[in-house]
Amino acid sequence: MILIVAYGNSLRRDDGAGFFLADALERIWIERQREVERIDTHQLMPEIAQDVAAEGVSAVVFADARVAVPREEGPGPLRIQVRRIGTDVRSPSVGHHLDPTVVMLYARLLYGKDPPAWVATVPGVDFDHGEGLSETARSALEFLPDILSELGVEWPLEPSAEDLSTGR
Amino acid sequence: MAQTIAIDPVTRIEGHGKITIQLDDAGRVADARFHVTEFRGFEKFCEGRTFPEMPGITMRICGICPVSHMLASAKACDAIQGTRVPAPAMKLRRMINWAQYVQSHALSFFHLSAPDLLLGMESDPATRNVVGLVLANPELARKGVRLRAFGQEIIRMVTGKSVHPSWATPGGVRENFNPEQIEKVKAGLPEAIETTKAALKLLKDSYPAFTKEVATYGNFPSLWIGLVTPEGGLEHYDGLLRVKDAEGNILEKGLPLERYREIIAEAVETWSYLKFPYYKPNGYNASGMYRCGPVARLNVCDFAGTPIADEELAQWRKLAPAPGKPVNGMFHAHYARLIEIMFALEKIAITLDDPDIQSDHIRAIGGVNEYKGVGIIEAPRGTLIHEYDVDRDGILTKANLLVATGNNNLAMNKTVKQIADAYISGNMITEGLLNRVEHGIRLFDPCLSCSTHAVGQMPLHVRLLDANGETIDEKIRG
Repeated sequence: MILIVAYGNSLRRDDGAGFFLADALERIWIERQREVERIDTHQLMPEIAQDVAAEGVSAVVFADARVAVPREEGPGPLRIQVRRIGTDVRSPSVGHHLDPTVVMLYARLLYGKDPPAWVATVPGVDFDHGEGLSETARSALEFLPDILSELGVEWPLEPSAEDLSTGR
Repeated sequence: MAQTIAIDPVTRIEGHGKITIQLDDAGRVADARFHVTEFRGFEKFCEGRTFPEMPGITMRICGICPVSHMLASAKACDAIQGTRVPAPAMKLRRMINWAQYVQSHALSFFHLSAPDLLLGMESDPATRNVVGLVLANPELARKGVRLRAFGQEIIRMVTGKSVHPSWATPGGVRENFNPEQIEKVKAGLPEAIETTKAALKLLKDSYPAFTKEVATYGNFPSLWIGLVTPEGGLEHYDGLLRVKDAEGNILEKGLPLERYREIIAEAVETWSYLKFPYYKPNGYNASGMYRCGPVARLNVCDFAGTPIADEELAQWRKLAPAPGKPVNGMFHAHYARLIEIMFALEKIAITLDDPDIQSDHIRAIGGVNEYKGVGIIEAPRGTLIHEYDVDRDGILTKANLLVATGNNNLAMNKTVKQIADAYISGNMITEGLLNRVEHGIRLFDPCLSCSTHAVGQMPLHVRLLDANGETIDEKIRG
């Protein structure tokens, strides 16, 4: 089962892009007959580690927005980025933020579960008060199928034994 | 040579805490400024909305204390409607508020502060984090997660969601508890109480290791403000506003909430987006600075009202410089939060047996009967004020939000200065100084733009400038 954790604030425009990304991913994976569970939240909290560690979770995808700085992201349109979650963790923030790495560490250290996990981010340029996404974020979401094809059709799951044996 | 140390994160977007420390020619700390996030955007955003929408909108100000904003907003809407909220609805609102205290304070203590307390303020940042915490005390970490989850689950049970629940409305609430939910909460209470007791013991046992921190982390006289019950007890949801001075004298015994502007005014500084509230009778100066939050609430109340919390409160009061005086040091906020968790759990236990929380009489219906509504509540991090002006159709013409972090703005500045003064060493920006300043801010458990988490990661960029503005040293964290 793929666990999608979407987080952000839908009243701060692109900060809520993670929910739109989660909508698209969930739709695609259900069409491909994958089992999907989804959590929508304002921000990541320690107890999400309990969901990550639940029985049957074979992969975790955190769906989020990121602050996109065009000059730092290279030429061409801003795209959805997908990266595997590492293990580097820093000291706690003075605010309330936990990042996906911390959630996954809690799951591993406290519950002994360590499913593969990724963060997928939509480029955000407008975080003002309001609803709806910027043109940048909307355009990036339109190219999601291309991103997924680059990752491999089975992402975020490993190919099954049957897939391997049949050469699918 | 006068120097400026700027703890300066990326500031292109609101939501970061930038800290500037100014040294004088002798290398002493002359001033410190903590630039905090602004909330004015939400105030403007709300103009033109209908007042019943406000609880649902304003709860998106914060992902940690959405319940606080929802309840403060609902109270302001109650006042506009002019209806009397049914007693069962009041009890349900209080229940959810106590659950909020459990989850919010548990996060602050177990996840944000525990690494500093258990692993040491000067320990390697590479391990002074959740990894280090779990390796040092896995059982505590696990229990901390479960305690927070317990509070969140209570909220989720009756509101449908643990974050941004659309539950409190003008005049009441939408849902009550059912017998199955009540039994489930009862079953979880013993563990929650034992976890809190364990945390209290761990914290108190650690005090000998933090004598200097106790003396230098926000340890200065100030006014204290918070809600109390009409009898003077600890209060989180309603009651009256009380103000005490640094000697423990009561300046305001119990002001009705709608009259808050008689004692609270707001100033503006050019170097920060955040408003600077102050105690109006004393003016905008050092004597007008006040603090709110867990330490303030325990300072202004006469008692808690539940057995274990009262026992701990009596112990906590011994931390004051003299009997009858307020507890001054912000390091004691950790202890205060644990006492409030215990108080909330004890109150939840009592209320679970009240049949009113299963009542269907949970909402009073009304229209626009007043053109101004004030809702004041004690959020976990301090006094929270929502004030709305509406037209005859109930459309908001003005909103004023005074959040707890704003109330503590002046005090946070002074705390940063005090810590920097005690630990700065020449022209060096040490990791230890960064850790300690961070911890000092964390004692206030500030709400720093968790409403835009994508930009609120708060990396720290510390720059040391000479009198000519040249960078002598800098460090970047995060």
